[in-house]
Amino acid sequence: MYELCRLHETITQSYTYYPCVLKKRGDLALKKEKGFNYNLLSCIFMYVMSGAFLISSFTIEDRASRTFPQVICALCIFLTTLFLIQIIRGKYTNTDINLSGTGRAIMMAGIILLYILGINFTGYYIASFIFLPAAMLVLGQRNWKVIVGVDVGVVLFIYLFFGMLLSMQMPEGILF
Amino acid sequence: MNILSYFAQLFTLQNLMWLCIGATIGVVLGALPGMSADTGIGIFLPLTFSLPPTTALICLGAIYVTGSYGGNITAVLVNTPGTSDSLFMTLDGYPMTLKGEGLKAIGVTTISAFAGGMVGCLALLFIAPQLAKLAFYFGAWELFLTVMMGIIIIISLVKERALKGLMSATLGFLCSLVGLDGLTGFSRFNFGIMAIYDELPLLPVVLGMFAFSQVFVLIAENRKSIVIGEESMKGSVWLSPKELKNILFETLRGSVIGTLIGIVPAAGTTVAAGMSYNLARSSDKDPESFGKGNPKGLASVSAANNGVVGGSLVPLLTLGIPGNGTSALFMAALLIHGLAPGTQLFTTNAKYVYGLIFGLILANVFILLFGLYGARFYAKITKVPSSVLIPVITALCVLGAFSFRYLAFDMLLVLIFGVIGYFMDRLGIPLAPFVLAFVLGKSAEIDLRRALILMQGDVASVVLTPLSILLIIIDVALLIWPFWDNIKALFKKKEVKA
Amino acid sequence: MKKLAALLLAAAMVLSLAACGTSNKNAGEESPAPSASPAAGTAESTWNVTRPEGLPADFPSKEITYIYPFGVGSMQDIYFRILAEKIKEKEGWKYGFVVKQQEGASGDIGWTNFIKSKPDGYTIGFAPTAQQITAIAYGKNYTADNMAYIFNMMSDPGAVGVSSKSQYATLQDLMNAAKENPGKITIGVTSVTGSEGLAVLQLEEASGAKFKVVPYDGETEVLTAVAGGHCDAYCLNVGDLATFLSEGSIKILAVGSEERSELVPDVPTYKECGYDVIQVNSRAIAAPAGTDEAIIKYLSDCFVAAANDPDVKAQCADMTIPYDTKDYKETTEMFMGYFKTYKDLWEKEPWA
Repeated sequence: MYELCRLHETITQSYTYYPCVLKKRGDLALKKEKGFNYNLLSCIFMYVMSGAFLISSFTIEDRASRTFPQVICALCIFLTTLFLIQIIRGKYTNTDINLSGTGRAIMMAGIILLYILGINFTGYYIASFIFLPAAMLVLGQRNWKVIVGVDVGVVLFIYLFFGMLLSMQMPEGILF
Repeated sequence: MNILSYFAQLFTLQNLMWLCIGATIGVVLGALPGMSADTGIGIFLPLTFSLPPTTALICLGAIYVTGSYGGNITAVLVNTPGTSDSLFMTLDGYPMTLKGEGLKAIGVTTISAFAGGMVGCLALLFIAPQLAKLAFYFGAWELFLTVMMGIIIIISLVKERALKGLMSATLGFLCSLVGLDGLTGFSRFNFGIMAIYDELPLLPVVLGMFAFSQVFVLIAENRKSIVIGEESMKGSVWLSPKELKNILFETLRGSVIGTLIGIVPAAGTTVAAGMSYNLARSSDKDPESFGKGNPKGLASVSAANNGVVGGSLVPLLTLGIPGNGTSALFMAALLIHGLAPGTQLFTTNAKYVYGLIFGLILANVFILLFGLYGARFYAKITKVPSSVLIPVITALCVLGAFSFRYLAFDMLLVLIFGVIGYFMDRLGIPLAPFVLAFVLGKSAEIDLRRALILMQGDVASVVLTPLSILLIIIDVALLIWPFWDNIKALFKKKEVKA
Repeated sequence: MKKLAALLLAAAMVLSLAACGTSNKNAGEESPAPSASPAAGTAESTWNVTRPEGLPADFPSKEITYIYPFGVGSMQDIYFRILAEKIKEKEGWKYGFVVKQQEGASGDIGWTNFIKSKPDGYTIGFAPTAQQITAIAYGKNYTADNMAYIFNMMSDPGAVGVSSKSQYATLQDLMNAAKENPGKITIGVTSVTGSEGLAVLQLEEASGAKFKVVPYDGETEVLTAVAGGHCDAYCLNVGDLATFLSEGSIKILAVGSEERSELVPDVPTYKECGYDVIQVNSRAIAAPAGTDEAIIKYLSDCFVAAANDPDVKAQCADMTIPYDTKDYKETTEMFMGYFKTYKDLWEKEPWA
């Protein structure tokens, strides 16, 4: 029941695949994929944002201060609804959307989040010193010399250039 | 005769040395994501206290000039713009790199940045006092109309993907409204987070949306490095006469736009870059090629960006009115050394200011040096494996985000907007309208409301000034121009019918 | 390779210069100031700070952090750095002051951190009158009675004025016009809830006038608007006006201090014009409450000595800083006075 949909990436000259579900084998002729239309994600996000802003705008007492934001919120909701209608009508499909690899990206985002939180504990230098090799390993780097070299080199450069030469204020942690 | 003698003072060992230092620091900081000329000048300001006035000004000026250029390199090669203005360079510069024309792209951006900077500085040198008076004509209503120019650019930018583009723009508007209402002092939409009480800080948001999201795209695409293959660096950074002629007009026009917009107190580099790009695109015979690696697009933006440097210093030096945030820092530099902006600066204290201006001109030459000679060296970045490039860019982005306000929260903000930017990019929602709306939204609202308050005193005197009428004409023209073909077609149809 | 070598050379130059850069004096170049400044040979030192009893012998044994919750480049920022350098040099400290910038929420973030820090003498902060206005309006705990003031840097009197082409010649002219045309005369300020907005409010009360207050983003924006004819009047501080005054595009009608300002001695005060309003923006340095008094006294003496030092005076000669050097006792008295005034005003007419 599963057919593989193919997307040609012009940039890397490669193909990426993602599964899509077909209603009936007969639909192959129509070449219409039915899956979750990721454009809906945009819709949901926009509705949430404009909704949050709209609700928050009612806490503003000054009427002049409130008007512009409310107009923009209304505009946003209007546009998003138009978009939604177009999606249902089938004008926007998944063809120009490419969400492959998102899993890896999210995982990396998680690691970076830990890094940023770590900075608040141990300060920038130590956190970076730990983060750089960890990230490189996750991303597939296996050459130990490169890992150590980049780790030491980059942290040293930042320390000398920003910390010493420019005496810039660096993010501090509770411990450091 | 006098002016030439001021030129000679540039060539003392001390002045030249500090010029080199400033120029180098500027390029390096400009290239680093999140940092820009502002960061450099802010850091160097205390360091230059004890220097003689001319030397200090030359050093800071050099940082300003090369700092505005440094971001071009990373924008073009790695798609990670250093600041919000260099993002327009990614539109045409990065595709050039992907096509293997990375060196050429660096050549284009270097030469046009040089041209833009020179035009700005020459304007400063020759016609500063006259130009400066322009600033006085801009009341709240005029400023609003100027900002509208930027907003109209957004509309024409999204011509193809209209709905998604407009959604992106409205989102940008909403985000720009977060923070203190300039007129009432009340903080809006901060959802209880103290760190965004004042505003959603520009730099971390833009950095996240463009530079950081690029990191995620690289990861998702699982590309081994930015450019694959040896012949990726084909060609050379030196442009042929034909190529030079190709970008000549856009470069000159971009330079002028950058200089003029630099003078106007409201608009900054983002508007200059956006306007220049848009004009180049709509007036070109082949607008479709823009966004896919057309050197004209890159040239127009680079020229405008560096034109702002000279332009912004015009009102600052002559009237003490900074043309943008960076020139405001210059004000501090002038004050410490006992130099007050104004006519006095160009008469009794002339040697200092002309020292600065000539220093700026010389710093522009550094752009050529760094760009043309260093190109092969920088281009190697595109060969660095992603597994190394990504962590390093991340570490620098995070630091850059922090360095804006020295607040830990901004580091989190850059990550959040990085994720948002990634999804927007993947879901086909254009990012440029968001940024323009974000930069302009708050100014537009404030200027309009301020104009309305002033109008309560007397409507006619506010609205019926010659400048505002001129601006309205320009705005309408900018609005109609991209759609001119469509309108002509409509009329043709009517004629046929009749 | 050549590029790399050149880069390294530049780096080496920079490093070596940074090391000795700070000791570079104005060698061989005359100061642009018309006033003679004794740059060389300032040997005659009037520095006589004695370390008080009870001061730990090794103070300071590490860097003293100065929390400054605003951006770099302003007059008070520069002035502080100059003072700090001088103190470190004269007292022969191993560790000096380090400026910690923490922008955000119009100072709230920095000030909240400041008031929370340990009162061990190693954290001090920027404490202007604006801080008190915010603290009272929003119920914050960085109020004058919860800190130990060390030193006052400057006091900038308020100033009301118009464009030089304006028809108004005195403050009374302006106020009368606003009384006869309520809501029609526009006056530009930088903050409705700040000291300027408050001053306008008080002036309105004292005269029965009613202005249309127009907030702008900064002092320069206000003055540009006034000079360009877009706004009728301004209410700012004397220190903001230097450039535009010398250009001749604006004029000052009155100042808000008790006595006439030295910078503009021909201009009357609000009181002299008949309006009992005081508008002064004082900028001081303070430490969290509970800091050892010996440390406070020592720092206070150091700052006062630095402010009076001839080198420092020469460096600041043309910055038009409205000096108001006060030691810790005088500063505390002055700020408690401001605190009381604003608290009383808040009871009568809350401005936020």
